[in-house]
Amino acid sequence: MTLMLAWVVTVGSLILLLWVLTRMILRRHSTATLNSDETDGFSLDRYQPMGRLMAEEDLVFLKSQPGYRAEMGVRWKRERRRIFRLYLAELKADFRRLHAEARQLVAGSGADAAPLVEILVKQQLTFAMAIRALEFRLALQWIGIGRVDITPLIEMVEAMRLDLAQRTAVQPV
Amino acid sequence: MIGMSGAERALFYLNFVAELVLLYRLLDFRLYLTYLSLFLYWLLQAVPSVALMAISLDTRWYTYVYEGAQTINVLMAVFVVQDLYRIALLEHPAVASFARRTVLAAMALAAMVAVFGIRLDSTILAGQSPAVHRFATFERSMNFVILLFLLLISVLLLWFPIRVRRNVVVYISGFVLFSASRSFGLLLSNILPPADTRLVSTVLLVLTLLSLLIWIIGIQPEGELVTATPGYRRNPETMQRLSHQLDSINAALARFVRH
Repeated sequence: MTLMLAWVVTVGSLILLLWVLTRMILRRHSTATLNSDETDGFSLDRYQPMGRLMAEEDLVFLKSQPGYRAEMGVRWKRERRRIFRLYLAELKADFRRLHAEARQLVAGSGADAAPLVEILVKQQLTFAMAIRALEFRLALQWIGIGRVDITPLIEMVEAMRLDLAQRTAVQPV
Repeated sequence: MIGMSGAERALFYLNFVAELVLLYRLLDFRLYLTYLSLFLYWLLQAVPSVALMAISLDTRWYTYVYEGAQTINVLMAVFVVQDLYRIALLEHPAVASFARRTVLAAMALAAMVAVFGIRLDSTILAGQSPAVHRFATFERSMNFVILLFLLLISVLLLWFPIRVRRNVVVYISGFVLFSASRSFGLLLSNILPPADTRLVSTVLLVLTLLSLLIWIIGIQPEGELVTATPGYRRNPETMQRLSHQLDSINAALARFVRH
């Protein structure tokens, strides 16, 4: 058993690191071609429909309609989850782009920007964990348990925004 | 050298020549001070090689000289990777400052994973020398720590992404191959029957030669050119725009929750 664990840890850690590196190299192209136009194109309006997607009012209204059948509600929920996931994928892509730009800027900065590196690392990890948690909740909601809560994501992005705003405000040009 | 197969002997001499060529090129290109750790590492490999050429493979002296040289080299390799970390981040003071604070944690993480692997070749097969076996376990574990550390550095460099000199990329690539081959080659020599030791040793010599060739061919004076990346101090408008956009993401998420 311990021998098996030794193999799993040794080979597993190596495969994991190589997989991460390969993914990064493959994604590098999109990061390398990142430019201001791309991030300038970011729009808040893109996420406006997200707010309504998980609201229960529409389902309540649908149920109150004559001729409503249970399968209609099931299909409506399925479609709602699918669209929500599409928005979430876009949100993740936007976060990745903006975070990549922040990393690029910090990488070329002086030693006084070192705390920002730590913040960026922490934010990346927290965002990744918050996304995993959200996806887990979406899966649970699919089997009828609980409801989706994206508060951790909001707290994360808010922290990121505050940190970056603070750093850029106190550093003179 | 007595006791080696013909191919092994030829590869041993080729490796020695390649070590000398690498040292000469680093001196000739005046890069030996920039890559002092690499220069010293291979200088310390080349000197004992001369002694090993004169000693029979089956004697205790060969084992003593080999193990002594390898111990110094393994310790030297730890210095090499730390120096590599420093060289790679030389033009990126913000990241370098963070890296200095995390280097011990990264080393500790790599060492913890390597400790798990000690169990892999704990059984000494019939016909294997316990002393040689244990030393191979020590050497391969240390090389595995170095390999993991190099991969962690690569992850950090790619994540930002940090544009490094081409020579640094060559330096890292060569060491990844070298430490991977030592780590897994020595593991194989410990878990395979003694009859296969010569074959494993030959493959290891081929891979060492390949690593040396990567450095000999890859490290060039032109590879020292640095591509600069603008910092936020020099680009405050971009950083402000970025903050605004992240704010927008936050606002969108906040609105979602209110609904």
